[in-house]
Amino acid sequence: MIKRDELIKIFSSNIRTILLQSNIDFELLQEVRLRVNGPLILIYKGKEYFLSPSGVLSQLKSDAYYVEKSEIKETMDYISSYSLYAFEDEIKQGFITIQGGHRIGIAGKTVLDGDKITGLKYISYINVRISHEIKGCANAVMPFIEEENQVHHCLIISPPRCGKTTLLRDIIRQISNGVNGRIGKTVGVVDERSEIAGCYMGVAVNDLGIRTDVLDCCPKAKGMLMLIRSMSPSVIAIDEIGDYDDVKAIEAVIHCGCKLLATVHGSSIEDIKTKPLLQKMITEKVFERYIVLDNNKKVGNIREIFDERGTILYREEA
Amino acid sequence: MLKLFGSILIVMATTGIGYTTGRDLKIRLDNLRYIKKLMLMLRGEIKYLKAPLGEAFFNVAKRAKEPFDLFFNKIALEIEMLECESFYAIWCKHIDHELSKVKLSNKDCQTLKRVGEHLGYMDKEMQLGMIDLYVEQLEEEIKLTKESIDEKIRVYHCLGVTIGLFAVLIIL
Repeated sequence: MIKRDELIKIFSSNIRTILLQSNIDFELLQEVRLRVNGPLILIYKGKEYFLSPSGVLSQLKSDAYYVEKSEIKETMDYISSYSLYAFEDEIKQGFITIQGGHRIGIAGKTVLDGDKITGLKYISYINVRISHEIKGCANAVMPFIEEENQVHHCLIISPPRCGKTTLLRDIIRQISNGVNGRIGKTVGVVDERSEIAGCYMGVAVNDLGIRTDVLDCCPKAKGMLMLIRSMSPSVIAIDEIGDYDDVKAIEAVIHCGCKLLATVHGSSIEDIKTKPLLQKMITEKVFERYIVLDNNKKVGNIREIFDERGTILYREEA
Repeated sequence: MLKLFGSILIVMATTGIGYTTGRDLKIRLDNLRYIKKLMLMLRGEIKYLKAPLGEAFFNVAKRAKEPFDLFFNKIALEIEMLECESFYAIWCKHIDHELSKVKLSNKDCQTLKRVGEHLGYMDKEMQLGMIDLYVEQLEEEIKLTKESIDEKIRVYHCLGVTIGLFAVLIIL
């Protein structure tokens, strides 16, 4: 109910009414897509639906409610709490994270200064990606990540919308709390996009465990080094390795004796081996565990787990 | 005896009105100075902390005195609630409600309302520019008020006494 109220209030009044009329379970809602003069689309239980003006889910485009330009503007006002200026940097990157860790992707016309993006105008497309906190979703992978009270360097590989952040969040919580007889460890989280902890005014909204420190809205590379210096974590967690600065910082983390939990976009271990960014780390066997996710059976489906030599530790039955 | 008592009462009442009106001018001047101070706080919140309006208003409310604390606090709460209203509507509503008892002229209230037209819109520079413009207007108003306030207070005091005496003369 809290999630429903929290989410509904970011939409314009018309869309609010439609969502309130619908009998959607917000725990199973993954995305809401708004496009100027386009149909209101939901990704619900892994499938795409159009939402009708009376709040009925339909797979027919003709039933859909069509979003107007003014509604996108109104929605942006609410998403930013009437303070778009406070999200200038995020807007340049194309997304805003709101309370609860929900990511709002935005697109429109980019404003350029030379080849640098300085802003976005005529915002016409909004994608609300709903963050889910599923406690216990990491139960199956924990025995592979933590053995004899030693955490392994771990990389979660997953295409978008397959639940890698949700899985990472639960791994952090379990390592931090020390469940099933394991000793709890201090975890430092660099939450560049506020998606893991969903911080609101510096306080984590999602449960990341009792021994977790969060550096919110901080670039990953700088944040990892800051955490090592300031909070002496045993484990550092980051979401979505993005560039060479992140890779350099990861090397520093590993050489400091900290264990690393990270995620990356990809569909398989072979796929990420082809990425120049990660090639070196894989060859040097930096990561001791690779967890590959997909959404074949359900979101967050664990397909395979490998060790650093590529030995299969777990494979989902066909 | 009764006439004398009545006359004294009339003169005292009109003199009182004159003094109160003069005092209101001073209070208005103090309020304008205080609003300027609050606007500079808000400017700091936006410039240095890049705080969204809700958070910035909460922080200003914590350091403001009554009834300005209530004004900023209520706006902040309403921003958090996102009740399908524009920011300008929220801003104006609370100027009318919370600042209605504060000694400000109609013109002061209208100028303050205009600040809300553009708050939250566009980038940080725009917010700072809007606040700077308002602070400049406030400074100008404070300067003009300060230049004429002593003279006006004297006039109100004298008018209060004179009108009282004049009324007594007419009645007698």
